[in-house]
Amino acid sequence: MSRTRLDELSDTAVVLFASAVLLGGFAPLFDGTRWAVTVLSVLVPVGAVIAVVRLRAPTWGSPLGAVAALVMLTWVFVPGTTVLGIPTPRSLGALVDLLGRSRTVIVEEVAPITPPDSVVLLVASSVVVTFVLADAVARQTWRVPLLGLLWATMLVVPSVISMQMPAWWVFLGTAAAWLWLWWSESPHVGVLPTGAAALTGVGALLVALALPAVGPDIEPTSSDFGVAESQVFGTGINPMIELGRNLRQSKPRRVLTYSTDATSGQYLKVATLRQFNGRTWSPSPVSGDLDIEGVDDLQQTIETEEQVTRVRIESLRSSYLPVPYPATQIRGLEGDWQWLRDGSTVRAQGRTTSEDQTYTVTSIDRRPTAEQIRRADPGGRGLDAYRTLPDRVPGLVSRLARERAGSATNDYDRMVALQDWLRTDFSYSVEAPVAEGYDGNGLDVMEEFLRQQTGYCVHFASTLAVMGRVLDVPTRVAVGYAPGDSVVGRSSSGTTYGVDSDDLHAWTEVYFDGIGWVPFDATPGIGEATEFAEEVAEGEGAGQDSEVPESDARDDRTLDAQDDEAAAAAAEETGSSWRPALLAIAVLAVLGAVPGVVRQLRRRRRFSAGQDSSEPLWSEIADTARDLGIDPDPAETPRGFARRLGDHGVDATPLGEVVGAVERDRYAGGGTVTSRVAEARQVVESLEASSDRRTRWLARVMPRSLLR
Amino acid sequence: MDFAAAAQSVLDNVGKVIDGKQHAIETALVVTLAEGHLLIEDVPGVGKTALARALARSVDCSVRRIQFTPDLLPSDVTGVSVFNQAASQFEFKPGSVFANIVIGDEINRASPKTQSALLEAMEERQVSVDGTTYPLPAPFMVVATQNPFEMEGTYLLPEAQRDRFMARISLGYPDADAELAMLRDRDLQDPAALLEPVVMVDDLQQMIAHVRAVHVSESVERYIVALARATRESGDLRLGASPRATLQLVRAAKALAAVRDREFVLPDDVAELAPVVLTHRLVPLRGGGSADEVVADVLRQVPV
Repeated sequence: MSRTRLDELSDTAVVLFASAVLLGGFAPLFDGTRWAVTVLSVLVPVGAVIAVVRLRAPTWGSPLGAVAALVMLTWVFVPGTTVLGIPTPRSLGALVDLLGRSRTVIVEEVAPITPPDSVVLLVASSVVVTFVLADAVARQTWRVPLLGLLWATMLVVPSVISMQMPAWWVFLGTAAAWLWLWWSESPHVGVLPTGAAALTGVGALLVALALPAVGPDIEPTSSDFGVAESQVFGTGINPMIELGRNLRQSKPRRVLTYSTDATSGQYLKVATLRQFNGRTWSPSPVSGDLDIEGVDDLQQTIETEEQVTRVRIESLRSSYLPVPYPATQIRGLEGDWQWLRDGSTVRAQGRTTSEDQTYTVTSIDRRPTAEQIRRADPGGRGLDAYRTLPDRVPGLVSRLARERAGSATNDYDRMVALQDWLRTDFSYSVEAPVAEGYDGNGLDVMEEFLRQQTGYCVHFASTLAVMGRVLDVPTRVAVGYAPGDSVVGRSSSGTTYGVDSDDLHAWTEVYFDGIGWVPFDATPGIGEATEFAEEVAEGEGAGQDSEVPESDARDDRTLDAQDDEAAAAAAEETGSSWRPALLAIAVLAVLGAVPGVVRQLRRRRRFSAGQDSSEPLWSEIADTARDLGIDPDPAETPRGFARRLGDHGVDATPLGEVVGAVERDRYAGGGTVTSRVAEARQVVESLEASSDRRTRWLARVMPRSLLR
Repeated sequence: MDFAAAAQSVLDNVGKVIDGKQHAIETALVVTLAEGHLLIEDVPGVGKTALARALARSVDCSVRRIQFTPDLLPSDVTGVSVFNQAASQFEFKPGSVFANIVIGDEINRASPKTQSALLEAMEERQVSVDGTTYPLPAPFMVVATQNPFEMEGTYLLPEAQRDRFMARISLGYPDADAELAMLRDRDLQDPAALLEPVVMVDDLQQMIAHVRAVHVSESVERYIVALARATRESGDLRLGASPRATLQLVRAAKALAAVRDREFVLPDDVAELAPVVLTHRLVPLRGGGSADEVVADVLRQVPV
């Protein structure tokens, strides 16, 4: 059976088809279709080049295909660097630079994103490289199993990242291409091998079982607050870095407008970060069912006022909703939203996003007197999570915290002192930390920030929170939008503010028993410093407005999901960037081990069945040979096959015994059966010993005999 | 009588005359034991007749030789009824075919009419002359030699007659050593004339009976049928293997198994004999592959 050029061409076409279909697997990761068109415009010409070259000179197909891939990538992604269309060393450097830029996006963004050029280049180059590789592999003996592995990886990886099963057409298309290659390799078989079908089925089942099991572990990245639209409010594993990048954008744009009956602008909180591991802040599950938001057990004596804020989203596509804190009721939302009890934030379910939403939030403005807040019990139950610090807090941070808190005798005064110190002695700069190389929010960054005394909201919020914890004050970091300083309109019902993308902000929240979480904004020039009025006439006016009965507050929450506990737990698990990758590797490793294990079990079964008949022994020898790349021919007699094995270096004596037994069993019409298990084992060992190490290894990991 | 020893002695005996052609000698013995007829086809002077004579002489039985020529009459082969005046009746004078082993030399030089006279004898093992049927002695075997029909003065053997030969073998030229040995041995004498019989005719009958008892498993039978069917389905042939060919392939395989000292037939025996048993019966299409190629292809493709 010789392969014609037409076979070769159809192979290239099938591999190209599979590569294009597999591209669909990336769809859940990216918005829009521009990226796919770009990748295809690289892939298809490379396929054409390989096909045409193969017609003339088959061996040059892959090398010239690789060259074509490089040329196409250069033309599409860095056209300015070519000389008369020919890539130069400069093009190569530019491509590598661009590729390098994709790394941060991948590490920090949460799917789906609108991919910048760097990410499209990454996808395009990996798909094209896979295609050229697959096309080359498609000409080797081991081609079908290898291709299966290659394609399975490409199927699994985007699924693991996006936590969505591949679309049915991606799976079917890839499987069809694979089975076609299989079938074209063994046309005399005529039907699709049942072994292959069974193995594919088992593999699919395993993936289906494994993915949901690992799901919750993979999904929540440290922040997961939402989806970026055109990189305005990018949301990543590290929201702090993302925040800085958005602030540095040259052209801010209107994110939302809100009108409120409050006397001043509102902080709109998006997410709450509680856990600090020394490198970054992240949400984490909360223990106990304490109402730590303090909305429900607000001290009756504290003056409060209900505020109504109407928010209209202009251009934010996020899975979290900017809301004033603490909200008691939200109306007018479309889609499926969930109230996260902890932090009082609101999160979308499924495909719902904040896009085009208009909603009305009722929140409580708490106005304790300075006396009241000073008296607040600093103990605070169940708040240990908010006092936890990593083991090694730099001495500078602790020293400055104690120094600057000074002689204050209560939490409130200490925090105010720190806040005021940061607001007055430090300066605001979005660029300086990047320029000085200490962008971020880890402890080392904090140290540098304290030395340089300049930074932006991330540094201030994070530093104040850590310093608070140094002083044993429960703190956390809130991320969201600063009130915004552009007043769009005024009416009798309130003031309308415009919030832009550069109003993205982070601030610190501090807990006071009986009052709840109180925001402290340490960033110079943004918002207002927190300071409560000293008591004028004690007891006056208190108690009247603050009647927010517990039950009412609960009932008023009109959101879809009421199971706050579960929601909080599911939404705020921690995870690190290496975890999905590790899990993907684990899943692949388990899947990869399955064929070898199945094969060993089959061998054991045959040797035990070989006591009574030589047939299982012969099947085992034939399959071992097949695994090692010596294919038995159906038109070959046992003797003929044994002769071939002998030529391969297999020990002739035990082989002869086994063949003799097989012949007597098959052709002598009954008679005594002699067990040849020992001889068969010798033959199998001798067969394996006669192959090189690589072949043996491949036979263990990917036994071809399973695919019959 | 020990079958294996007897078979080996015949092989050794014939081997004294024909150097370096063990395979052809073994096939000749196999055909003898399987009660078939043997066709030896080759260019002149490579030892066709010598092989036939050596085989015949190794068995102590009646041997007749017919030199076929264009003017040979059918009655020369079968025999003729002549009027015996003393007895006042017709008397049958048996022809050359009445012997245990008949050597038909250059069979394709005879006219088709004479060739066909052999037909009945070979298939029915009897001769009919003037309405009377005379049985031939048992065992009965025709060993015919012929030159390739393209050579001058030859007639193509009819398909029906070719089908009656169990196997067709060719000897080919001897290799250099064998040719040198032959020069030394046969310079002064004809070694075939000096051969002594090593097997009695009764022994031969017993050996034939032994061959009949060899076991053929169903899977081997299926394999043989599949081979025959594959030749019939081949796109390169006008005529594939006949059911008679199937039958003769089984018989030959049994004989080969016995010669190799086995009580059962292996597919290997079948595959080994298929070229000599099948090829001469197949009629290729013009422009298609040769019969040899078809048989080789079939063996490569039909699953055991």
